[in-house]
Amino acid sequence: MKRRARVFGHDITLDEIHPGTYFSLDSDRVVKGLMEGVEPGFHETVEKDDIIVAGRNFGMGSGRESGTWAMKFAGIDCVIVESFSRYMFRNCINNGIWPIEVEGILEMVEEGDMLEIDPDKGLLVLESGEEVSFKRFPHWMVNIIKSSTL
Amino acid sequence: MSTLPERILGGEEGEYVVAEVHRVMLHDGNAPLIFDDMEDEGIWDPDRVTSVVDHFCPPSTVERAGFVKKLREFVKDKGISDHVEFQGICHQLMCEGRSLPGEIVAGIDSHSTTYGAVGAFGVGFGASDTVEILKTGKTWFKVPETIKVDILKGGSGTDIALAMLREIEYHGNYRSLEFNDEAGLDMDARLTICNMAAETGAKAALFPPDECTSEYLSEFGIKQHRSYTTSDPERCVDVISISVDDPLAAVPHKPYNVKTVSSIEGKTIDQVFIGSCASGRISDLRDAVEVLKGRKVHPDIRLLVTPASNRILNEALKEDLIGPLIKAGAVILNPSCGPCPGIDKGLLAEGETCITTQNRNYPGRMGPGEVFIANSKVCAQSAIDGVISLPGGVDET
Repeated sequence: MKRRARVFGHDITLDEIHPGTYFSLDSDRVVKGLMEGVEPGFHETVEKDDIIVAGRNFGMGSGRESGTWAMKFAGIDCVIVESFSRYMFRNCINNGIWPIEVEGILEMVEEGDMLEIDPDKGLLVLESGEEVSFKRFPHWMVNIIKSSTL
Repeated sequence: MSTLPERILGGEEGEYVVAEVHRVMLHDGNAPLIFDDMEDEGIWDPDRVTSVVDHFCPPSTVERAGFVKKLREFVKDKGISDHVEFQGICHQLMCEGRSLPGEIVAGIDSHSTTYGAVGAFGVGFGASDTVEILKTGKTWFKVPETIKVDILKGGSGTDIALAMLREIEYHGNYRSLEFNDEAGLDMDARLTICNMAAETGAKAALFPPDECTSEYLSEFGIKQHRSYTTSDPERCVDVISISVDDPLAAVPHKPYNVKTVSSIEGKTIDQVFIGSCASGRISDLRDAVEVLKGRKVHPDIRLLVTPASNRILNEALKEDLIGPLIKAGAVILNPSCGPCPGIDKGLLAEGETCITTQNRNYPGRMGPGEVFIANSKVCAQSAIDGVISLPGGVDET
C-alpha cells in the first residue's frame, strides 16, 4: 500500500506535536491538538495511514503521551525520523506506532510523497522507487507494537 | 570497570535489560491517561507509589477537577497511601525524603531526572510504560552510555545547567549524565542541574552521593543510605568541563540556545516567572529577595513567584522572604507547576515575552509567547527594569 508522507523538520518538540492546552481525555479534543504547535490546522488535513516524517529529535522534551495518542486517534501507525526522543520512541511502541529511524530521511522524502513501508522486512520504498533499508526491531518489541498494548 | 548505569540497571552498556524499580511517581497531569488501563489491575506494591496533584493545582476547569477527583478515587481504590495534593511540585516532593541513592525511581514525567541530585536513578516514562511498571514493578531499559560532566566552578544551578546545555545540546538522548562536583555545590543547585539535564534528552543524571547528599537527606530523617563509586572514566563516551563566569540565558525556542545575559540586555519583557521544578527553591527565593528587597517591580511587568513546595514556602516565611517579594509587587502563587507547562495559571498572550527560571522555552510551552531562561537574580532585576538586565554588574551573580 502506498501511503502519503507528511513532512516536518528537525527538533520538533512534544510541546509542538501536542500543546499542553489540548491535554484531555476527549479523543476529539486530543486529535485537534495534533501538530498544532508546528502546523496549525494539521488535524483537518491528516488522513488515516499518513506517515509522519521528520528529522532528528522528534518528540523532544515532555513525555506526555497525549501527543502519541493524538497520532493514534488520527490513524497514524508509522513515524519515520532521523532520531526519536526516548519518550516518543517508547510511547510509539506502546501505542502500536512503528518508530522507524532512517538516517538522512529528510533528504529523501518531500511533503506528499507516496511511500511504501514494511517494518517486518526493514524496508522503505521511496516515491522514486528507490529502496532504503532500516534496522529491524527486536522480536519482543515487535510483539508490543503489534499487540498495541503492553 | 563498569559504569554507574551498568551497576544500577544490571547489564552491559547497550544491552536491553529488565530491572525492578524502587518507587513510582504519578501526577495529575499524566495519570488520567492510565486510569482506563488500570481499571481491573492491582498495583504490585501500593506502598511504593507516590501520587501528586501539582499540574491542575487547584484545577481551573471542570474537566481538570474531574481528573483530580478520579486520581483521588484511583489512589483510594488501589490502596496508595502516599497521596500529596496541592503541597508542591512532584519532583521537589520526590526529593524531600522519597528517593534514595542507588534506587531506580520511575516518574510519569520527563523531569524525573531530578532525583539524580540525591543519587537516585530518576527516570521518566510515558503513561503506557507506567501502567506496566505499576502492575509488575519492573520495566525494560537499554543500558545507556555515560557522559561525565566535571563541574569546575560554581554559580547558580541555573547557570551551570545552561552552561551544560550549551555544551551537550540534545546529545544526552539515550545517555546518562554523571556529575563530578569540584565546585562544592549545594543541593538546590544540584536539583536544578539534574532537572534541566532532561533538556539534553538524558535518561538519567546522577550526582554520586557525598557529604552534601547525606547532610541533605538527614533533614528528612534519613540517617543511612547506600553509597556507590563513580563510573570508570575510560568507559564514558564523553567528558566535558563546565565553568561558569557570566550569567547565561537560553533564548527562544530551545533550552540549549544559550547566550550570555549581557548580550541580550535591554530586551523588552512582559512577565517574569521565578519557579517550576527547575528552581523555586529556597536559594532561588533568597536570590530574588536580595535583588528585590526595598525595590519595586516595573509597572509594565507582572512578577509571578512559585515556591517549589510547601516546605520551601514555610522556610521562606521563616526567613522573611515572602513579605519583601509581596511589597515589591510580586504575585506569590501556591506551590505547583504554575505557568511552566502551558496548562495552569499565568500563561502568555500572543506576542508576549517572559523571562523565567524554568526549564523549557519550546514554542508554545507557556502559551504563544517567547520564553527566555535565566537565573533568579537576573529574573528579579529584569522585573525591576522591565527589560532583560543584569543585577548590579556581572560579579554579583
